[in-house]
Amino acid sequence: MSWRPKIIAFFCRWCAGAAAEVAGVSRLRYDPSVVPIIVPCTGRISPSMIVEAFLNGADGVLIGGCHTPNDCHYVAGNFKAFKRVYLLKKLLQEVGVEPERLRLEWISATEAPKLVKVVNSFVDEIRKLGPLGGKHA
Amino acid sequence: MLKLAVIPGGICGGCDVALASLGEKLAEILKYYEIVYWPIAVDKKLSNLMNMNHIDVLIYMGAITTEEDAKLAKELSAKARVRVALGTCSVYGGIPGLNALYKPADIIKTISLLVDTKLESSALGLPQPVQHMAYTDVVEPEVLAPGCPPTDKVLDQLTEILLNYAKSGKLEVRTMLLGDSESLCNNCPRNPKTTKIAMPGIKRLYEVKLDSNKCFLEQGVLCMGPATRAICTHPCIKFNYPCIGCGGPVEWGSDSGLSMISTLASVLLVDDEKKLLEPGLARELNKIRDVLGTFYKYTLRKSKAYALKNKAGGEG
Repeated sequence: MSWRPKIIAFFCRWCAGAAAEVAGVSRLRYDPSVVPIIVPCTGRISPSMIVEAFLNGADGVLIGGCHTPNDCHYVAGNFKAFKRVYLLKKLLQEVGVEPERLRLEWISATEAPKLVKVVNSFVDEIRKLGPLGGKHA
Repeated sequence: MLKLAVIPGGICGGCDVALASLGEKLAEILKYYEIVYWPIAVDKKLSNLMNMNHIDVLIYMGAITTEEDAKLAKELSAKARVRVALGTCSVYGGIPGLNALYKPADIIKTISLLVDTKLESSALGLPQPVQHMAYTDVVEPEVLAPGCPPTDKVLDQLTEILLNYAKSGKLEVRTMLLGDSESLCNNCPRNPKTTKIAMPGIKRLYEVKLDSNKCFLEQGVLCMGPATRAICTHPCIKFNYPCIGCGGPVEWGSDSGLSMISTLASVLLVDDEKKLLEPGLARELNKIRDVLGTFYKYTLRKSKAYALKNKAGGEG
């Protein structure tokens, strides 16, 4: 009844991660179902990290990185993330997982309100989809 | 004399041929071993094998596709001292492992649409199909020998293990994955000159005139080499055909499909990313029509993608 989704969020240190810090300092509230993990760059997130997150109980995975084309601190890590996520979404569909459970968003360091909006809308979406595998944990 | 049993599961016959083509080395092995069961090579009865108290070395080939296969694999492996999974089907599920995406009943239904037959296999007393499994899903073998079919390199290592076991009575390591612990690219004869590989898009084999000295990825052709264990001496690549990943992942327990997705993202159109932006890259990636069939041609059954399918409970 009071099922709360488990969501892992990978934020890059320079943009979405910094935005999360700003959101914290500005006392902006966002849904606590999301566990943010700060990584150096979204290009560092390997597909197996995302799949492992799902296998270990996550109902959704959110990835926040720097805006394309020129914001990435490491030049083009965000494009690598885009390609990985794009292929992974196809894979998810083929194995019967809704591709909407994986979302990639570009959020710059100053966009704390956008981060809050993205997180909340993603949580709402996962709530609508229900738990992965259809069983309430 | 030690007892050697070769048990076929759901096989195409390639592993049988590979093992038989050991030739003189097989004669060397037979100095120490007596073949107590191997349907294509010796005339021994399965009932005799079932009555034996123990088997020294059991070589299992092929995947587990029927109840009969599963029963044989379990009962005989319990009697065996050394279990060898021979061939990619046995180790990772192989190409037929893609069946695991569907229910056995649906597969039978599809086949009966293609082949005009109304026979129910149960009516003939034939064994019933089970959800497709690798041998490694049923037992934990001591030796894993992948390859489709197992290559000379793998078979040489296997021969050595069998001979050493016959002489010393023990194995050196508890679980061994044969082949070399490195990716196929490491010793690739094409040896890309640049440290950075830029893949100029995704092309089908017929769309490109392949240069036989240039890395496949640099020519826009998908090659599973970066995510595949070095079990061979690059026969396909030397024949100007890209690797399709029959050796399985580089290490036991890793996932070749996800590694390849990662690799592909790192090399595909790396110099044009800022020009093409997301829509351009998406258009190129859409050329991969069948993600599971491309990246998991041989290893789906043991992959994280399959585990995820089970977790999601989705079908096909």
